[in-house]
Amino acid sequence: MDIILNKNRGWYSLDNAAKIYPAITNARSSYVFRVAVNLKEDIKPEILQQAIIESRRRFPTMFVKLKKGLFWYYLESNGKMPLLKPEGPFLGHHIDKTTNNGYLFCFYYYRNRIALEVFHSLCDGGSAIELLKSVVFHYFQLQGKALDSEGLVITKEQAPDNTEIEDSFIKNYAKQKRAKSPVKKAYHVKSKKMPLGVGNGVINGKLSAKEFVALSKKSQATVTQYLVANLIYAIAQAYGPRIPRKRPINVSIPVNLRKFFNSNSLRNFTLFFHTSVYHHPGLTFDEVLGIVKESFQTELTQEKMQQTLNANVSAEKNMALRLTPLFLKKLALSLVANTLGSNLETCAMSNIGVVKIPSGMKPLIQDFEFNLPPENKLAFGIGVITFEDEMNVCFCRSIVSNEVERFFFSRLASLGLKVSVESNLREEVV
Amino acid sequence: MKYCPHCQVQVLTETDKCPLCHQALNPNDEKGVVSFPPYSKRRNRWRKIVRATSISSATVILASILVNIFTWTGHAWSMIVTAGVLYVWLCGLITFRKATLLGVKLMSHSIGLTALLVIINIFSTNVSEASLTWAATYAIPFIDILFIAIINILMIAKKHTMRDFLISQFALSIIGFAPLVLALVGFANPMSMSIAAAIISGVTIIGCFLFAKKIVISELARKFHV
Repeated sequence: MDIILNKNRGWYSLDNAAKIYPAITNARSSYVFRVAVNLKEDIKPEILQQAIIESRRRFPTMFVKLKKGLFWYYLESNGKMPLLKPEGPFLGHHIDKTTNNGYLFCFYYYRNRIALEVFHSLCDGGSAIELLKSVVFHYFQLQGKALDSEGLVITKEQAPDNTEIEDSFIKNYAKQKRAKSPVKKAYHVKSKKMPLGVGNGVINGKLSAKEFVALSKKSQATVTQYLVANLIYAIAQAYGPRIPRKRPINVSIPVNLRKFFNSNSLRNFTLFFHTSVYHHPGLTFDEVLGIVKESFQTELTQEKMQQTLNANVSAEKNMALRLTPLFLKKLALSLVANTLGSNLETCAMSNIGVVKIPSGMKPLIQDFEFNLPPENKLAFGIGVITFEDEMNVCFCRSIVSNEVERFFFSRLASLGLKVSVESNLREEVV
Repeated sequence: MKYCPHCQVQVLTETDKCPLCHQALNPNDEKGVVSFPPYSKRRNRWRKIVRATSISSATVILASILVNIFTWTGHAWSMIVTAGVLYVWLCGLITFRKATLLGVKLMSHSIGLTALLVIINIFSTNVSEASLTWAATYAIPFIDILFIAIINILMIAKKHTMRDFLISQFALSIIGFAPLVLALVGFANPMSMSIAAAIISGVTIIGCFLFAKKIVISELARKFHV
């Protein structure tokens, strides 16, 4: 372990995806996402704190602080104590480094829930889940439960691997073809925003994974395709008359590149593609699903991902950009994020997929949650995560209205799916 | 568990209304749980302090400029008031900002104080007789020496946090050569303080490389990586 730290001189440059986040955070966009696990018993904070501390040496790229250089931000090993706090009322809020010992993540507990909130510069959802699983595994071990990792959890006994700390964007960059699929400027939901300081509205919908898979199969679609189509259809139903004809409903879908490029990286290794649907008065769900399926077939290919990765990394490798001082780079990056990011998206939906844990842990865990807070121009973010038969679709919104969530879940319920919802009822305090 | 017949969903949260359609739920159904910690208003005292000091600073500056203009005697004293208020405001905020490193705070004070003294020197006489004599001869080199010495002492006393001071110390040490440059172009006379500041700056840079070469090189690699 120490060999790895020395080799990396105790610091890491930010990976390709991470570079942009410190430059574009603002009061409305924290770029802090949250993964959480609900156990079958209440949390014991002292033991959980111990489990977090013991995970420190196993995850060298996570237990770091963000520092400013002249040209780029970078991550530096953090010797301070990682903190465990009682969960507060603000989900996905900025992580204040002065009250968090400089860490870019924070563990929270509430009743039977352990939540991990992470600033996106540190890692993506897939890596955050690995840290959460590992901490929960050690939490159970510290309580005297004999568990076998079965190769499904990163344990503190294993030494960190060099492949876990690599920047997989750089590793898989090829100079050859680079291109990004053209995306039209998207429709943005215009609705009354939650006042600053009130936080985001959260609605989690709990579904049966088996029922949902059966429903998607009936339409010859994958789970993600069906979810995206249902989301677009819900937006169309909620805001239909207000959507201009020339502005498509664009849903940004993060893709875990580890599957495409055989990577073990515990940093960011995700790219996005968009699926676009133009609204018209007679729009049907089947029509939306057809468009979504087609966009998955054309965009979600190894070749397309390689081209997008090449385009993103080549921009980072541009010498003029590299030599631009950080304060100027921040201006340029926020402009780029606006033009090539939020301008092109109506919202984002990320499906982490099925969380696999050792069989010994399964009886101790109820379900997982994944919240993707909204950004500046995007009214909501949607995170989806599945554990056993529990599929959680978590909406996080910056607007008061929850019409999209209503159409989304009530359509699924009307098709015979058993849907349970929970909410932080934030609209009631506005 | 409560059930909303309009949305056809079960409601897990303790509430009287459906979280989706906001229609009333059957009060006789089993109560849900408090799914999330209850809302409490977040207080941001720091933002209030920044806002209050910014408004009062701007008011004082504007008032002094107006009084100076309407009672003009050839002496731009409002520039001194402006510089003083800006120094207290900017450096005050930096001093109390928890996220700022101590080295950066000290460096900011050094630069701020230098700027303030230069402005006092220039504007303490009539505009037609403005000069930089005592600031360039004594004040600037003295402030450089003082802050370089303070940071050196802190670096020696807190060896484990040396890395946090290095870049500020390097920046200050480079600025420490400025009085000598000013003296060489004729702004300072005698040159003794300027030479002393340059020597201390040079010794500090060489000392850092001699006694903490690894840390210096590693820190420079981090800060200047492209």
